Amino acid sequence: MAKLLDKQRYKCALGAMQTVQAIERAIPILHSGPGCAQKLSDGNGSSGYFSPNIFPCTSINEKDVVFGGVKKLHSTIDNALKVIDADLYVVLTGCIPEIVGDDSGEVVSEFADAEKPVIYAPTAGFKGNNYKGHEQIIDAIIDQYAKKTDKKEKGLVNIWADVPYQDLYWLGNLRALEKLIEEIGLTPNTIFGYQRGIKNIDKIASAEFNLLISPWVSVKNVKKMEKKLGIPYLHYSTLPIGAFETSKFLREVGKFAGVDEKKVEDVITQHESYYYYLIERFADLFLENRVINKQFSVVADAQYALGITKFLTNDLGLVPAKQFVTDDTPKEYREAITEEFKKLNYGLEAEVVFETDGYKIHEEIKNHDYHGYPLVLGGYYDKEVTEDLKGNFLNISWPVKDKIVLNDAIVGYEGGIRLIEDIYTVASQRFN
Amino acid sequence: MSYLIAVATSNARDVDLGFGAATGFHIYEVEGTDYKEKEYREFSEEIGGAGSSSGVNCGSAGACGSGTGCGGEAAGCGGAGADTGAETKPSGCNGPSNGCSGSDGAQRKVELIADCRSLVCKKIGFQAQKQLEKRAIAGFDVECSVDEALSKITGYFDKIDNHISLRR
Repeated sequence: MAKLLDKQRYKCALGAMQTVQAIERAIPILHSGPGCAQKLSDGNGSSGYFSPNIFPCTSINEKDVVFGGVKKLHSTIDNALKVIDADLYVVLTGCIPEIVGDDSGEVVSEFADAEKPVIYAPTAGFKGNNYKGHEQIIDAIIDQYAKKTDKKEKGLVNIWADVPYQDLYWLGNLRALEKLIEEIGLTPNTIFGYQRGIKNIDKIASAEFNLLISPWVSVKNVKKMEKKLGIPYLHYSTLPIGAFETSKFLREVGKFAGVDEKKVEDVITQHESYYYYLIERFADLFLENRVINKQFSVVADAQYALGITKFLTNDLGLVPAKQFVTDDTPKEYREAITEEFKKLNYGLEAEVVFETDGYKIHEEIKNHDYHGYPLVLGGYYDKEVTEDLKGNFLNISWPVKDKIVLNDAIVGYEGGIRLIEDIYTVASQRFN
Repeated sequence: MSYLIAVATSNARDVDLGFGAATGFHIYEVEGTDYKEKEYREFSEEIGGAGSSSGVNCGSAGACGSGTGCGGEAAGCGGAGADTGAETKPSGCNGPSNGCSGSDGAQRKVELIADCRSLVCKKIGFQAQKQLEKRAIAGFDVECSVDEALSKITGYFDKIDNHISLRR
C-alpha cells in the first residue's frame, strides 16, 4: 500500500548541492530536470557569488530520457567551464539521468584535463536524502580530487561536523569548533564557509587526523579517508554544547592528539569559569522559570537531537521526554545512537525514536504527559503543536522559518550560552 | 494498440529535416516495439491558405495575404521562421499568400500529423513545439538514423505503456 510521509525534515540527495555551495568558489553543475535547484534551495543565506538560481543545469526533458542526456551534460560542463569562474566544478546527478542510465562519470572523465577540477557525485533522490548526498560530495572529493601524501602537517586536524544549510548553525558551529581546537594547540582545517574552499581541500590529505563530530553523517567519509589517504580518525558522536560536554570533548580530542593534559585543562578552566559566572548571575531566572518546562523534546536530526538533549539534561538540569530523530538515520547506526542517549548525567536516560513522519511525531508529543508545559526544540513544523499545548518552542532544526542565523553558533561553551539565551528568551516572553 | 510516429526525413534513412523544412512526413505504424512505414504524407502549402479555417490565429491574414504585409516578417513572424527552419528557409513565413503563418504554418503542419503520437525531426521551433504539446504529440529533435530514433522511442513508449521501469 502506498504510504504518505508527512512533514519530512530533509530533501533528496541532490539537496547536497548546498554542500557544494558551502565550499567557497565551488559550483554545482546539475544533471537534472529543470527546477530542481529552485526547489532544493533554502531561501536564507544562499545568495552570493553563486546562488541556486544560476547553477548550471542540463534541464533534461523527455527527449533526454529517450535518447540519453550525456551530450547535453557534456556541453553544459564545457560551457560552465567557459563562463563561470570557479575553483571546483561538481557535477551532481538527479533521479532521471540515473534511472535512464546516463554515464555521468564517463562524461566527467572527459574533463580530466580541464584547467579546473571537475568531479561528480551521484545524488539521485532514490539513493537517499541530502544527508547521504552530503556524504557523496565528500566521497567525490576524496575519490576524485584528493591525493595521498606522506607529508603530514603536525597538529593539522580536519574537522567534519554539520551539514551546511540543512543545519542553520553550520557556519558558526564550524568556526566555533575550529576555535576550540586551536585553543588546545592544534591546527583546524575545514572546507566550508568563508575563505576556506579549495586551498583547504588541498590540505585535507596532509592532516594528522580527521575529527568527525556527528552521530553518523560522514562516518563512511572518514573511513574512506583512512583507507585511501591514510588519515586516522576520531569519531566523536556528540556535538558538544555547553560546559559539560565541551570540556569532555576537549579532553577526549586532546588525549587522541597527544596534547599536553595541562594545556587542555587550562583551556577548560578558563572557559568554565566564565561560563559558570554567567550561569550564576542568572541562576534566579533559571530557578524561577523551572516551573515552566519540566520536560523537553528535541525534534531534529541525530546531530542536534543528541547534542541538545545532552546539553539540556547535563547543563540545564531539565528532564528529557521522548526525543525524535528525523534524519532517517541508517539502521546500522541506530543502536549506537540510542545508547548515546542513555549516557546522561544524574542517572538519567532519554528515550529516542527514529521517526521521519511529522504526523506521528506530533501525535506522540500530544499524547505525552510533560508534567506541565512542554519545551520543544524542533523544526518550524513543530511550532503549532507546541503552541496548542501552551509549550515553549524554539526553532533549531530544518525547516527554519522562525529564526535568522548569519554566523551564530550553538557549539561549545559560548554556543551553550546562546542556546540558553534563546530558550529563556522564549520562556520569559510569555510573561510579558 | 498500435499508434503512429511521423518522421521528417528526406531519404527515409536519416532524421535530417527540421520540422519547418519538411515538406512531408514519413508515417510509421508501431505495434509494441515493431514498426513499419505506413505512408508518406505530403504537406501542401496551398491548402487552406490565408482564408482557411486555420487562419484564425492570424488576425491580419487578409492583409498579409496581399503579399506585402509580410515583407518584413523576419521580425514580425520571425519567431516561427527562425525556429522552424532558419538554416534552410523561413518556410513558415514565406508560403505563397500564406500571410503571417508564424504559428499558423506550424499549426497546419501539426494538423497533418495530428493522429500521430510522436514526431521525430532534426529541429523543432518553439511555436511548433507548443502546437505539438497542445495535441499531446511527443516531439523529439534528434540527429540520428530513423531506425535508431524509432527503436528508442518505441522502446520508451512500450515501457511507459506497460508500466515498466525505465531503469537500465
